Amino acid sequence: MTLIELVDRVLNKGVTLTGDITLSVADVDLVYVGLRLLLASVGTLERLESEHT
Amino acid sequence: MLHLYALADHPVRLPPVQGIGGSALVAVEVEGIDAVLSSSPTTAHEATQEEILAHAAVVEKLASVNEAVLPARLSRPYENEIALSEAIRNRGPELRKALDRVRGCTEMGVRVIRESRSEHPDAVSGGEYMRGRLQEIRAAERVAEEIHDAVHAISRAETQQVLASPQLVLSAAYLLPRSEVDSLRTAVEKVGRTRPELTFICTGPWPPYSFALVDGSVGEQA
Repeated sequence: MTLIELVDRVLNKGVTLTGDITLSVADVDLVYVGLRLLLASVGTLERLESEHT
Repeated sequence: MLHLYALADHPVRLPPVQGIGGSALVAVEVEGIDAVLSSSPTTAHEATQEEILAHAAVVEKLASVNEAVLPARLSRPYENEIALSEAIRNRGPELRKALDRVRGCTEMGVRVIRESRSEHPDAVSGGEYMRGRLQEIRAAERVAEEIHDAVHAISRAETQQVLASPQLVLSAAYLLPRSEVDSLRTAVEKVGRTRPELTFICTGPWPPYSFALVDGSVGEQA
């Protein structure tokens, strides 16, 4: 949850001086993990984590 | 090439941290606004996890030792100091206004999540489906309003997004004095207790990323 919030803020919020378009992210895993965190409630997340370990 | 981390009141206090790739932080003043920079090792248009985390760490440290910090969006590096100074000069009045807005404040995130979406059986008519969807939207708007009412008195500005995804009932950010962080958490918990079917999550305190925009899209409260 905190990770996706952080990535969202750093890439999509914050001041821009030149109107640059948003950067893409090289690390696809990070976005994937973040998206999962975003949509998952705490309970779902715990289940996902236990399935993956 | 130069990487911009944040803008701040001059003279900015630089925390003892390193920038992206272990680079050193420097401050450059442009008409009373300090730009916090480092050399940029890359010209790539893609952000890596390491860059994102290093950028965020610098911004967070800056926000912890300065009263007014506008976090910069992670973007392409600037050619040189002249290009950057010109960009700041062009937006001087807006940037000063944004610095005034965030001075002494921090940002809190609030997310309201619905565990599972009520399933619409395939057999329902289009009309029923639309009515159901409308009810979902209205219910989400009510939650947004309840949160707004609960934190209105302590927040200086807010952004709210309702139903960005079927599970994400509300995604909001609030700008508030640093001393009010616990009050916000308490207020959100109180609303949460009346709605056990939803999960309420507070994140932060964050540097004021959501309120550093200078295009007037931030909903300010009178």
